Amino acid sequence: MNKSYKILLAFVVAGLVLLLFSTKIVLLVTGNALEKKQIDTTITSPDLHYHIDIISPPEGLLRSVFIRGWAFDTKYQADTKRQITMILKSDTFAYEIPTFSESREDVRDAFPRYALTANDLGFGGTFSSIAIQEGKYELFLKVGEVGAEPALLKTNKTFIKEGVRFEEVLP
Amino acid sequence: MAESKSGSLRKGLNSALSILSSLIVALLPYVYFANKNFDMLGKKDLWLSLGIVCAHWLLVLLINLLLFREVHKASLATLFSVLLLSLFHTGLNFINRVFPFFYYWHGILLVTTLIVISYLAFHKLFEPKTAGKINLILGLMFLGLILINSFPTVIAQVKKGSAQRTGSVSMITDELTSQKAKEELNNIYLFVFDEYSGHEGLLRYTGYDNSAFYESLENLGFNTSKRSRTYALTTKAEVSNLLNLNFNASYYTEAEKNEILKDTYLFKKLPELGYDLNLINDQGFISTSQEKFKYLYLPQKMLSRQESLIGLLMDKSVYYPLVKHESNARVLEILQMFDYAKKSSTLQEAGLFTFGYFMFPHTPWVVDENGTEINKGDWDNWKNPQVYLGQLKYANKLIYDMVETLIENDPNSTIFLLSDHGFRYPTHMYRLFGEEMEDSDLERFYMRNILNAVYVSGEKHDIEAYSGINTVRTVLDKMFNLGLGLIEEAN
Repeated sequence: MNKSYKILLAFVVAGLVLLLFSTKIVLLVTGNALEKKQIDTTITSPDLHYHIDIISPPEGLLRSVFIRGWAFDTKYQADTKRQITMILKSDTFAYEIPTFSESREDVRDAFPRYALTANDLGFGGTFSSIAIQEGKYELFLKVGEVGAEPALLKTNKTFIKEGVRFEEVLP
Repeated sequence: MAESKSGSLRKGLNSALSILSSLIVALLPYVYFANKNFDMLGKKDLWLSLGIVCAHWLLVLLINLLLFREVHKASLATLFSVLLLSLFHTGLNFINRVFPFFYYWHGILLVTTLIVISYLAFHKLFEPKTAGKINLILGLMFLGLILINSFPTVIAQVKKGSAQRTGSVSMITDELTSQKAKEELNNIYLFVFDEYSGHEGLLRYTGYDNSAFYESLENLGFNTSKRSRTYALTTKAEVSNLLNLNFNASYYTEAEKNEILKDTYLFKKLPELGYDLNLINDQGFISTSQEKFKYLYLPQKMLSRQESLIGLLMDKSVYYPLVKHESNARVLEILQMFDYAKKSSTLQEAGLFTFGYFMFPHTPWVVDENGTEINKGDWDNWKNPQVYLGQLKYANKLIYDMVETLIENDPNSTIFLLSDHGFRYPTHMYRLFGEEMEDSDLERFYMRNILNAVYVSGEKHDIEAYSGINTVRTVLDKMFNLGLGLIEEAN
């Protein structure tokens, strides 16, 4: 076998390997890979309030889903730093998705009895639906002040990943 | 000496033909999409797209010239790679039908592999002469395709040009205009708002009571009906029905409906009565020959999917992730149509029939009730009827603003506000998500509930529970004693 055929063969083999693993590589390189975790969601807190404002359908090359809303614990102290993460929970495992925080004056004004400060009441997060394994998932929110034990709440939002399809299951 | 001169001349000619062939191949997608959307494109868009397509081809050619250092092989490689790059997304969509997990990066890897292998083959296996011959054959084949593809467009443009030169826009005859002098013919406006739900349907599917809008129209002198229905649930059938003032199109095939739209009763009868025609043709939906219209407003740009030829070409190519789908182009298009509709009242003092088809509040749902652009993810969000409702509420504002202006400029006119069908929520929930309808007849009853309002020079005219077609028939009878009468109601 001459040299150029060897190069061609190597190129084809490398191409095939890349073809097989490219989705995983792309998810890793773009920071969209999600790790399967075991998260206990049986204990939820009654002190949490929330609302999901937007659930976008999968968009773009990575079929990214954007979820935005607000959540808070009625026991929040004033001006503390808060953190919310989204949890997609299937029967056997869960994905934890980080979110960004935003100030929500409208939420503060809607609940005057809790004397909230607006900072970090809102959240938004994006994840690639390609990174999600096929199955049915319930959306939970992990809400809490930084440094304190977070509490869990069930949003009653369920999603299904079937083939390349990822969508909310209507109640 | 002379022989070597003619030899180098022939060589130069062959090289030029090779390069030209690769350009012809690169131009085919441009020609195809330009022809397909010719009536909706502006000159600027055509030239800009042509420039970008040529620049892209030139860049690839230069790279290949550097790689091969030979014109024929470089042209063949350019021809091959430009075609792959230009139709990348189309090919990817085709593969996705069979392999849904074949993503963009898989396509990139595949195309890169194909290009590298073919370049090696061109380099190792092809003589420059052979490459030149292949270029020439492919160039001729693609030129043939371009000519075949462009032929209907050229014929249509020639016809259009000659019609304008012979002044055949107005088809008024002395005999017919003698029925009424032109200045006595009050202007007529007939607007169809696609997917605008009637009162009952809206209440059922969104929970919204639209009474305030009906009352505001009545305060302007409109007669309204909340219980009106159409005969069909598709736009093509119902618009054909409306323009022919019967419900025959409900039973026709798509091809037959297209044929009917080319020659309809209203676009024949009203010119016979002395009217000039004015058309607002959103999405180029009305296929009636443009020669019939004295005035025409075709929203420039293409559909809601892409708003320019270069956008469309990029969307078909490997560069599609770079295409930004800008919703404001559609919002702008909608606002421009309403503006033109208002201006229609200043085109002629009398004798003008304006027909406006608005694909609004139909999808894409691009605005909320305040006219603020909404998230792109909601453009087709059938799951949440409130998204549709937002656009409908904004439509209310635009419609009210439009008719207020029309009445102010043209108080003796007749203005019809109709829709082709209501909000087809259940059928789309079934089509998209498999949600069965418990009682499909009942749902169709509500989905056929439409907007039906008419202003007849501010006079009272009872249209309660009439279909849009019967509303038009009774009003035309009132205006011209045509003896059209009523047809069976769509109950």
